[in-house]
Amino acid sequence: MHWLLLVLLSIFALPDTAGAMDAIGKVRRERPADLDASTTVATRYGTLQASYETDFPELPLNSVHTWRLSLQDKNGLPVVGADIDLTADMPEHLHGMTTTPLIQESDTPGLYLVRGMNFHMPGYWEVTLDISGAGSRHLLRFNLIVGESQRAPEGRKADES
Amino acid sequence: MKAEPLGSSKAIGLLLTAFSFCVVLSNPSKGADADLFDWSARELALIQSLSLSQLLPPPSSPSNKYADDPEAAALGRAIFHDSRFSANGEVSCATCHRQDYGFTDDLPKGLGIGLASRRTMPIVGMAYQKWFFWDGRADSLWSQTLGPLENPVEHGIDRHQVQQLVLAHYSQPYQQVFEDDATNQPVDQVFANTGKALAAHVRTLLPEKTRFDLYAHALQSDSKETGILTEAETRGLRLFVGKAKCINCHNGPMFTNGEFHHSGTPDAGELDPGRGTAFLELEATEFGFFGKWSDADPEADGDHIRFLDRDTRKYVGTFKTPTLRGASDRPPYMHNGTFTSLAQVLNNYRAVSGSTLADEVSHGDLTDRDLNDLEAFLGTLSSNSNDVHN
Ligand SMILES: [Cu+2]
Repeated sequence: MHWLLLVLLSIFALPDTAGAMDAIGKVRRERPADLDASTTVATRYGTLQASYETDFPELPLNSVHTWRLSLQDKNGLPVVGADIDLTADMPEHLHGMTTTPLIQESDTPGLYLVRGMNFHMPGYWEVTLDISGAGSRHLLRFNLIVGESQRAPEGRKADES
Repeated sequence: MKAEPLGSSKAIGLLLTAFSFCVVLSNPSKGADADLFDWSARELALIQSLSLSQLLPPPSSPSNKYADDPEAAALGRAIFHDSRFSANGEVSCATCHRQDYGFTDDLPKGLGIGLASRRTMPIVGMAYQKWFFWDGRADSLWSQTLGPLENPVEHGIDRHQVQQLVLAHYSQPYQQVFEDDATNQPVDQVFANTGKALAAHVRTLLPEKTRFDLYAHALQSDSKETGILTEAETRGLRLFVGKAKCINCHNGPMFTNGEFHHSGTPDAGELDPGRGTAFLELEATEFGFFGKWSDADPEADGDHIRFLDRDTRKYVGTFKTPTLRGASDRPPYMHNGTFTSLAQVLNNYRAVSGSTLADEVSHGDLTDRDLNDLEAFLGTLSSNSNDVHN
């Protein structure tokens, strides 16, 4: 077996969709101080770019919601017909969501709906996309911080000027 | 920001010097608790996320179109307190869900017609929950209310008796709310509607503002009246949102994520599978969210049920996170009522912390003082904690 395939297999043998108790064999990772929580990520050479949106100004805590996930190739063209495997985990806690989301391709080319997302603890989450069908197999990862943005009280927003 | 290459770094240097001078001035004693009131941005955000000021109006209840109907709630309230809805005429919902005791009772396990298998759940804030009972085997509040009525050790009656009782005592208000005579309806429909009225009442039981909420508000306001909490309570709050990791599960303004976790509670040999058997019951009930008597739109509503992870292996032995609001006023604790004080609960969390059960029983290395401080903080989550301190 090719060594790269072995590495890939070993990565994906570890996490299942995760829930209350699936810590066996995983390694706890602390949140990096300079976590990049961008809602748009790309593979190293830009061959595939993914971004997400929700109906909320911040990712909601304890609320089952839908992600609108957009995929583009390196020319900025929508990627249709992708086969997407999504997992969400808390690296510090070694568990995932209490839901198993469903990914549906929408009528808009390159736009996929992820129904059933639910973050039930505040903190550092990782959402990993394992995407095939776009020519080859790609791994993309979103870092998220859930439930830690302070809503500033009215009239006390920081002056941007 | 406008670029001002010359002199800007000097200005920043001056500012920094001035700033550090201020810090030194405002923080003269570098003792152990000198930083007690210096919250990080993350801590501040988490404190606000727990505050009652962040509690939105209750979410809609799509499976119960009477959920927010005041007349349905009035009918439900009357039935909630009516002990005729029991096998011996002495047990009402209010028997175990005592208003004078945080809507639960002071017993390890509920006592109706007989002894229940688990502790009576506190029902304040149920409008915000997705799953009901300790194991979440009901997927709506109205279907939850039907369980105890037919449970032989709780009310000990059946749906036929419920229909007869509604006809005998609530015929007029029933007709008013449900726009039909209970005599004409199938027994299951009357039973479901009774649950919907009970749920409409229970949805009105909402938390009261506590000393913690006043503190959270003070942190946001200019007053910075941080003396609202004692030093021990403040340290407890810092542990709660930080090292002790309580906030992992006890999060949001109701201090619960409404999900199911291992707590490492001793069970004295009584094996209780908890959430592990709930998935079967969710599918078996005729009063489910997607069932015949639900008002939900099966296409649009209920994604939390549709996409629920039903891996029994993961959830066996887990129980729903209860709210901590009012908890200090209403011992005993846990699904089996095994602990008579919060000190015992906290001690057990420390004892099982780091065991192989799961991440959720990891609570940092807590000292005796930490446990005392956490207990002090939990006391600030009771509404009568306002009187204690003021
Ligand atoms: Cu977690």
